[in-house]
Amino acid sequence: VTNLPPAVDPLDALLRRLIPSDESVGANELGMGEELRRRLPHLDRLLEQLDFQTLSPVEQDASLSRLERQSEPTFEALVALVHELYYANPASWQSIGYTTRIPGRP
Amino acid sequence: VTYDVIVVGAGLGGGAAAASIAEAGRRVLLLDQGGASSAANAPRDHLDPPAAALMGLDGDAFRGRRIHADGSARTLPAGVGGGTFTWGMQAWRFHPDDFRMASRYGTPEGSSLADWPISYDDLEPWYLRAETELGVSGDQTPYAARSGPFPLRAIERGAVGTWLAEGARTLGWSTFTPPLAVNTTPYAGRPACLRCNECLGFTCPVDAKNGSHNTFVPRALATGLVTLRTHAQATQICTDSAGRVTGVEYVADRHRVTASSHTVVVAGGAIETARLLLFTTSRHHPDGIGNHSDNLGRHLQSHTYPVALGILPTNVHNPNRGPGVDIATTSLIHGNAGVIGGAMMANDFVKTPLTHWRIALPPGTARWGLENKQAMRDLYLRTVDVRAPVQEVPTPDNRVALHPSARDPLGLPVASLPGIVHPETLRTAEVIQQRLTDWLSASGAERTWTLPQLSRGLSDWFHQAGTCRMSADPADGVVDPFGRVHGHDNLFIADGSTNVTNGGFNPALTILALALRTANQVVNQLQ
Repeated sequence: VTNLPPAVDPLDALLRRLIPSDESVGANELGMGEELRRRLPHLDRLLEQLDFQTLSPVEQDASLSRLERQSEPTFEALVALVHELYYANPASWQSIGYTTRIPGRP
Repeated sequence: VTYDVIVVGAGLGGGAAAASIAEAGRRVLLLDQGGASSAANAPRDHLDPPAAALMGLDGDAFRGRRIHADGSARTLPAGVGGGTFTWGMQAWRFHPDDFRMASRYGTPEGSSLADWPISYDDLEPWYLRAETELGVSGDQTPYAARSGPFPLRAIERGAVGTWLAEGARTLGWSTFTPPLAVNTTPYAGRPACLRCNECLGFTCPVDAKNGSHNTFVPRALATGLVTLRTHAQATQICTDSAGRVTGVEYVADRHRVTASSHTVVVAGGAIETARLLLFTTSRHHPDGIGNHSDNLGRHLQSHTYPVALGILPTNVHNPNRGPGVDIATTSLIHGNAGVIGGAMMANDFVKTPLTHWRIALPPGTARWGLENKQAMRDLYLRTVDVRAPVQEVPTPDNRVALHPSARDPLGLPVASLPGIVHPETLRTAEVIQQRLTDWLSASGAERTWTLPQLSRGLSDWFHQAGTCRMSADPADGVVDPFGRVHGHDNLFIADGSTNVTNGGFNPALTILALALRTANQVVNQLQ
């Protein structure tokens, strides 16, 4: 994580904390921003609240944990949707050992 | 044009009825409110709902809508093949005692638990024919007599099944391979299963999964005697001035059509069939056709599903091989002390990564961040899911009714589903849930847990049955033992709504066997 370039886009920064890059891709690498904004109308308001760019990764995680404890509805929906989009994407499958076994498919 | 028979619904029951009747030389109009899609070319997106996009409701969201007492709602897709287009293809025979539940257990207070007017032995020849015509793989049916073998050999057992077989053995339970409607070798002109991991909820990429859309409906069409109308919604069963059934009114391409027939077979599933009959009213049947005894729409039942998960010490899914269901036990199908009935217990389908993230991570796992990602990586190939369809105790208050205000695009009332699962069902489910956990522990699971709650809500999307209950006496049900609506010699029902009880198994093969038997009766009657 520390080797990644600093994030500038607040959504990009948020995705880096929800599903970080390690030996496999992170959520910010799968181009899901447009879909998230389409499905979560309050996403930008949440990003403004978080003010992620000014925080360190540890502070970012603490901020997200606070939202989780509060069961903040947009955050809960965001966590679910990010993981759904991530694990529906074949780019994530190899790392957990999933293959479709269908010719021509991952 | 006057057809010999109009069949409403091209799912498993309707498709089988249409094929059987047409192959006997009769002209059939087959209606389905959804479309007809190609299984092999269907999209394979893991995001929900893959099935809805396939089956051609064209965004007509209210058509299959059903609304619960608490206001929650679900809309189901429809289409040629019905549920079998994307089903889990478990093709079970019921246990002989499933046909005599009241005799074995009594009738609990508040319930309508009853015996069927037919027995397992009556249905056995039709089960065998259903297995042969659909294409079912299996090795044995240890709980009931069979008059012939499965047409296809059982699917090969994988590592999970091997672990679970050993655990069952230590508990004194016998195990066997579940019957699956899948080609384990080429069959009926279609290839064998690839053992891919996209099965339940998906169409088969090589068309090896057997459903109405690739067995009965093509057979029906091959006769040249069947007219298939898709995107055609039945709006009423037509009757003459004496109350006799004369055909079906439907809407297709924004046109209202009245089609005439000597006989009508309704096969829309236990919710849509009851709905159609309820809003088919006249002075002869002011509360709905077939509702002479106030049983129409009542006794809605499905299965309550306890689920247990566990983590085995090694990667038992590596390489993971679908469909995944490869071991079952019926040692707890009946005879569980102090409760009514029981269930067949089996392992589950290979989960897509997305489904695993949603439901299969252990309690306490972080829901996001690196810890969650690592849990997916560490546990995906080691997690085993076993589950069981506990048969629900029916009640007259669990029912399909017509919603007082919500309407579909044609202005017809949508289905309302008042009621909650009977307490005896939950007691049985709790016993079975504990036994599922025992099974995993005995199989070497390092950690086990259950899915958090057993729902008391009525099923609005799977295994629905009972709403046009079969009875010998017209006072006790909607149809006679051959699926013919009491008081109407030319109106039949060929879907799960005629099931008196729903067995501790997936009910599709029973629905199919009954549909074939009903179709035979229609043919005999037309002669």
